[in-house]
Amino acid sequence: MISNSDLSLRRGWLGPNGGLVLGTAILGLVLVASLAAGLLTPYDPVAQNLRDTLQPPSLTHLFGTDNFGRDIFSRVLHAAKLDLMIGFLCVVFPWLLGVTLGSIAGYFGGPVDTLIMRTVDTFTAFPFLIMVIGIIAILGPGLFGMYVALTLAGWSMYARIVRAEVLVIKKSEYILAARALGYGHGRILFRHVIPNVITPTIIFAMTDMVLVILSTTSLSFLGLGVQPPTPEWGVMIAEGRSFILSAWWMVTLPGLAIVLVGVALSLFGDGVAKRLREGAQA
Amino acid sequence: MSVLDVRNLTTRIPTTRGTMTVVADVSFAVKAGECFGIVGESGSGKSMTCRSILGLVPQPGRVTGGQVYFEGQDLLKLPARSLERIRGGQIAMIVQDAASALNPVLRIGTQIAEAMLHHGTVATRGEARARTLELMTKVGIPAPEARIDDYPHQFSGGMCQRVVIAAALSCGPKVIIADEPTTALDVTIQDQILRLLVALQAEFGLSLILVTHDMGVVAQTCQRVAVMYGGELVEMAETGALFRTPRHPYTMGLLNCVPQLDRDVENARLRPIPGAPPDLLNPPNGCRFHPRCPLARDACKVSRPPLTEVAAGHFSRCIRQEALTGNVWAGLGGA
Repeated sequence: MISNSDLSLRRGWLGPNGGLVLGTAILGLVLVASLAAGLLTPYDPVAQNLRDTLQPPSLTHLFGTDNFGRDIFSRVLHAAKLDLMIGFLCVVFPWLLGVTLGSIAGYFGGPVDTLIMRTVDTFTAFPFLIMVIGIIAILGPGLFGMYVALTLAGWSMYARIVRAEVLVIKKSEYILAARALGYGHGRILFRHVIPNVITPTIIFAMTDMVLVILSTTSLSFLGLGVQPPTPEWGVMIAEGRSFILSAWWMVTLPGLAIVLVGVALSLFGDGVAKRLREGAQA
Repeated sequence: MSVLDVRNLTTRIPTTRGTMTVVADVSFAVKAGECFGIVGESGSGKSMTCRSILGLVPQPGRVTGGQVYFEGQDLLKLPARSLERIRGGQIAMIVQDAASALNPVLRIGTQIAEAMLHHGTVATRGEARARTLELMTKVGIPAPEARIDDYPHQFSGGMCQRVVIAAALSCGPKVIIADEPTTALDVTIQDQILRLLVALQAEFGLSLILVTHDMGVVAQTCQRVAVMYGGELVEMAETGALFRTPRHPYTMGLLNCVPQLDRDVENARLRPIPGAPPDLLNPPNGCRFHPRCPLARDACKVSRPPLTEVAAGHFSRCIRQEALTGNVWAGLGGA
């Protein structure tokens, strides 16, 4: 026989949704640290100090300094703000685009559906990173190009998920009832259909967030995203790679920051997704 | 004076295997303040008739012929925008399963108020809320103040149906089309909801079109009733006349399916109508009911019988009126 205490043990030491708790805690810590970066470290993230280059981690420079003598701890903290914002926006933009187009396709059907969904097929036919790099190549490297590229490359999955849900919902009695009350298509779509279909897309967005953060740092590493001297983890790793044998901290510590945030986002995303799924079943 | 005048309404649904005529040349008129019943088996075209009236036929179906006159205008010819103003505003519909007729993510007060705000019945949210509370009291939801901000899943089926009725009433419609409003409810609640509908109909002077497959419901609530079979209207009469002297063998068969406490013992068994409803992709020639009809003759298989007035206000689509005496179904089916 399994008692209640056995079950709660099996669910982990942080409660039934420990991953969510841990993920939120780490993310919160990173967010607070990045917002309070000015208080935590006296150094300017872009100020060069050519007398103190390539210092190893010490009490004066917690994470050491880079080849221009900039404080890496300060740069890592300031970069967190930028990376988290890019990660968030690069999930929100494709989500907005995908949910809008996907629900229009599913709701109206017919030629509109065909047009939108064949476009989705075209977009999914390209490998994610190839398409992103291709679009940035057209628009030119930088933040703007990266937002556009990640939005265009990411929206199609959301459109597919939403369309499938809308196809089910639009046959439901309450949509018929809404039509019978004389509501127009726009009102029904945005007020009655979409609120009922977005949960699975949010679940997907939660897992997508990790991929997006990794993509943005990768793009910056390749010189296609955030441009130096702006502190960004991918940029920092790119700058440090020629010193990897002499100054390991230049590459390793920003890399660890990416790992930490990646793991935290995974835990957070899976935790939120689990909560939403349980909510949807209840 | 009829409020809603349906003439020769025909609705077709194209499928990969051919075109189904789900509503075939249906005509009836609903008088002001009247409760008009439409009965028939599943698939007889009752719901499709209702949805055709409001232009809500599911894709790829289409109303292909006929007119629906409401206040002198043909609803089938109105542009989409004007029809949207009539739906909910002038003619409201109550769909079958109330529990799923409410949007699960919106509070019930919001859903009742939305219709009024949309149709401009009320100007402000405050006014809408006051009206909503009033309507909730009217449809018999206890403690409306406490329940107005609840979600549909916090309501029972019967209470959901009351909410749906409140939303339908909210804009002061002249006609309410109730498509099997009690089918999803248990019997005691069914009775309450029917009584509520009849009471509200009397209070507001509405016309009510009540679609059902339950002859008992018809007898309890309707002044006049139409019987549908295979997309056609086969008989239409005052309720009393229809129950006392049915003039179509199908109606007689339906009445045999109603339990009666005063029937003698040998007739006490219910007699289902043998056979199955017609395949609408390939309906029988002539009278659509002839394959199941105990009175069918060769003439019935040749041409479609016209809907004729067999007594004052009593219409039937059967050419064998002289044979409709006694129980035409005796000795068939049932036992």
